[in-house]
Amino acid sequence: MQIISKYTEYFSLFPKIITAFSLICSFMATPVVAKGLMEMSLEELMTLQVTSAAKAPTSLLKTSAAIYVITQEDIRRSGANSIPELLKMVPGMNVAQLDSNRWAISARGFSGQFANKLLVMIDGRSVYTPFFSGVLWDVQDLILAEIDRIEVIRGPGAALWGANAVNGIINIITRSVKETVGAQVTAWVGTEERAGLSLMQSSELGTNSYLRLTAKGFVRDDSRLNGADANDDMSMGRIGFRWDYTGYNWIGKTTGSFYQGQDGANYDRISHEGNYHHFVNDDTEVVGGHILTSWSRQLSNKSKLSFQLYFDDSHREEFPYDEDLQVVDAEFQHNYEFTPGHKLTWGGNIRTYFDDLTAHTHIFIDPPSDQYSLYSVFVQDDYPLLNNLILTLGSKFEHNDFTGWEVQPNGRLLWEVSETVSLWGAVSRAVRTPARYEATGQIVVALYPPGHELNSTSIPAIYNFRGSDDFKAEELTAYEFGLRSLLDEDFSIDISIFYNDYNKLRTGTDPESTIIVDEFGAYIELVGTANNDLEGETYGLEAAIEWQLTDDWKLVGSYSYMEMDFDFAGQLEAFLNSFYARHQGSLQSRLNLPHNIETDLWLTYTDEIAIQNQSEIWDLSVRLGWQPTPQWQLELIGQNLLHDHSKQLTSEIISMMSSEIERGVFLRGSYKF
Amino acid sequence: MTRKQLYKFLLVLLFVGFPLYVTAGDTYDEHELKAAITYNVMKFVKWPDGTFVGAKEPLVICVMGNDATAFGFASLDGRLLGKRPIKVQYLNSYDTCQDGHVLYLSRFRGHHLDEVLTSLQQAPVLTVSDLESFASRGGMINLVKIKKNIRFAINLDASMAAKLKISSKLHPLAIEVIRSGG
Repeated sequence: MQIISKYTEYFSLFPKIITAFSLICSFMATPVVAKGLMEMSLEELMTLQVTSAAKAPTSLLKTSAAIYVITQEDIRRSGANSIPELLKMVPGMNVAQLDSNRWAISARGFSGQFANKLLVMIDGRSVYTPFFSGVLWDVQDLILAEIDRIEVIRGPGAALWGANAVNGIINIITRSVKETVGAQVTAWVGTEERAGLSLMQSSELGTNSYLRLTAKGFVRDDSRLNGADANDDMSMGRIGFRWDYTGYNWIGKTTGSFYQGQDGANYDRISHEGNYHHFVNDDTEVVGGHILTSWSRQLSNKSKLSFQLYFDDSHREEFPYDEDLQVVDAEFQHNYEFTPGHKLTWGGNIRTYFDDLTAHTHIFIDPPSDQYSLYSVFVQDDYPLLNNLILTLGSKFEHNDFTGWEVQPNGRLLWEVSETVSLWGAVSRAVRTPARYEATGQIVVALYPPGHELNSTSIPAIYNFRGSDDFKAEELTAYEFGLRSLLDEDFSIDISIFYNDYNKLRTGTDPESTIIVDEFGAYIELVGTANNDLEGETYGLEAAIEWQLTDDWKLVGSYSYMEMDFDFAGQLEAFLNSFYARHQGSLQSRLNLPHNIETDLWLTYTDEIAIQNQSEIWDLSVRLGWQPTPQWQLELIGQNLLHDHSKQLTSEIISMMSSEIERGVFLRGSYKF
Repeated sequence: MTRKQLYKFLLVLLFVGFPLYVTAGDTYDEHELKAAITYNVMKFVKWPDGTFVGAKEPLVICVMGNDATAFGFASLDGRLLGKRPIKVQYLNSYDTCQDGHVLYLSRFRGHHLDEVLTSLQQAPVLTVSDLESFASRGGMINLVKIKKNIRFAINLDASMAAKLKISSKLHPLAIEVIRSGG
């Protein structure tokens, strides 16, 4: 795959894609979706229950994990224009925007630009990069209207999902094509969300076969750095499809996407030269795509078999390094129900990564090109001890090329106290396997000028982190407990508490120092080698409520509290592991007014992060929505309204500069036909 | 309070502090459900002879309001009532339901209730609303949300004055039937 590097060429390509897309659309018929309700008798209709205003559907009450579901309604009324923004409503999630296109997202602490304990999946496809075991959020995007829900699980899910599902899992699930039959065009224009256009067209191809085509392009304005424009604006275009087939035996889903874009970013190419800081602005070029197909078949009324296969290809040219990555993944799963309620699920997965990394500066990687695999089997048994007491035992047995076999078991107990109250508890083990750079790389992390408290000499010291073949997987044993209740039809509450016991966390050895002298002067090169000597505990509480006060006014709130109990060996170790806010809160008010006007307020709070010198942040989003006809929706949205511009977090790597996020206002219109 | 005490306190709170209620079953969108119930109620209504010119002349539903329930009626557009196609027209506040056969008034347009009913002048138009006490104030079909179900009340005096016949099969399904003299 080749990067089209020039801005102009990129934009000249996009209209062509849109034209081609609309041509394809125009050839397709748009049948009307059948509405089951209309075929029912009055007697039947009167027994039906309207969807509860408060969110605690039965499926959530039957889940023994700290799960939060962001629904299509939550997405619409949040005023968010991208996936990361939405995650701020979830208790226990640490979400900070580093610049116009980079985000630090984690669950239950250990956040940062290179946060590595969160697994993110889109329709069953893992989107994390093995280079640093994290997620590049700038390229994870969809049309918001095609998202059915985002399931966010805090806590380990490794027994099902495997390595790296340590502190949380985010499952982004798109809507079935049948549900979106018709077309929708959305366009926006504003100060930060500069401009964008998305198109979605879903049609019935034949009996049991549905196709959705999507296209999206947008430009986001730059943020602010040192009193000037940060030049980190981004532009991105993507096309995608989803084909659903429901046959007599097989049910299948096939998705594909292609994206291409450009993100501005700021770097500090630190060195011992001059005043040590050398600021560079550079554009990151990204291009990639995927194809995934997933099929399931009911073998009998007790037994179901499913397969999934995907290929993902991404290419990234960033100032410090270029990354070229291909992923091939295949899995199968078999569900068997012995007796009603007693379910066995087992399956296997194999995934191979092919990477090619070119380091330019401040990063070193050897070998530059590598291939590594993961293979695993898992088994899980749900057993009803009593009618309303369900025990879940399961484990994943996973092999990776860095540390060999890893066993990740869990045990969960769910007590459905009544149809509206459930209690659950879980004990689980999860590991994070080494990222590529932790095994075979080196990276510049920090610079201590003379006079710095960590540098008593008269020359600068530069700290390097070096990977090691001996680096092991990080381990977590988590203890969780939760309560979920629909207190009455208008009020739901969800509380979970956790205690996480971490072992073998990544840290560095005491650095070896070498004095290096060249034509620019002398400096101390400090090299700490990766080891697993850090251990400690975190614990906390998360709560979420939904309260429908009247038919037209709803409050959605969340709060989380977390503490870390670690004996850090030094300031750097403390700095690198303390990316969490002790208290976090979010409160949304959604008010419907006459004439189909919606006024939505969203207030968020993030506590200070003292070691980062990051002060607490209060912020506010406001959305005014108006639906003049069933087809049209107009929205005026203001984001980050409480500050002209403010920094949300500093990157853990000194050369990655984060900037100040500005207040933004945009107008978004959408038309369905 | 030490941390341990705080945790104990929270655990006790979690176990003790919550009353238990019961609910069950799949749930449906309130707005679509209201439209579907109206559609089914219409099947039990007979308009006076001569209201429709031909068998295929559309039955017109006037919708006053632009809230989500009002838009839920869009799902009836094009549907058949018997052999007669349904046409849904959205009116603004100053329009009258000139050629309509059914009028849905949004609960957000309650302040227009009296003028709307006056403007109809007992024309054969089935009036429907989810406005509180709509039936007792002269409306015909009052959609009411009771707990999680959508039910309805009927005002037979109002429908008879407009020469509409509401089948007696519908009466037992209503939560209330208003009719003078019993």
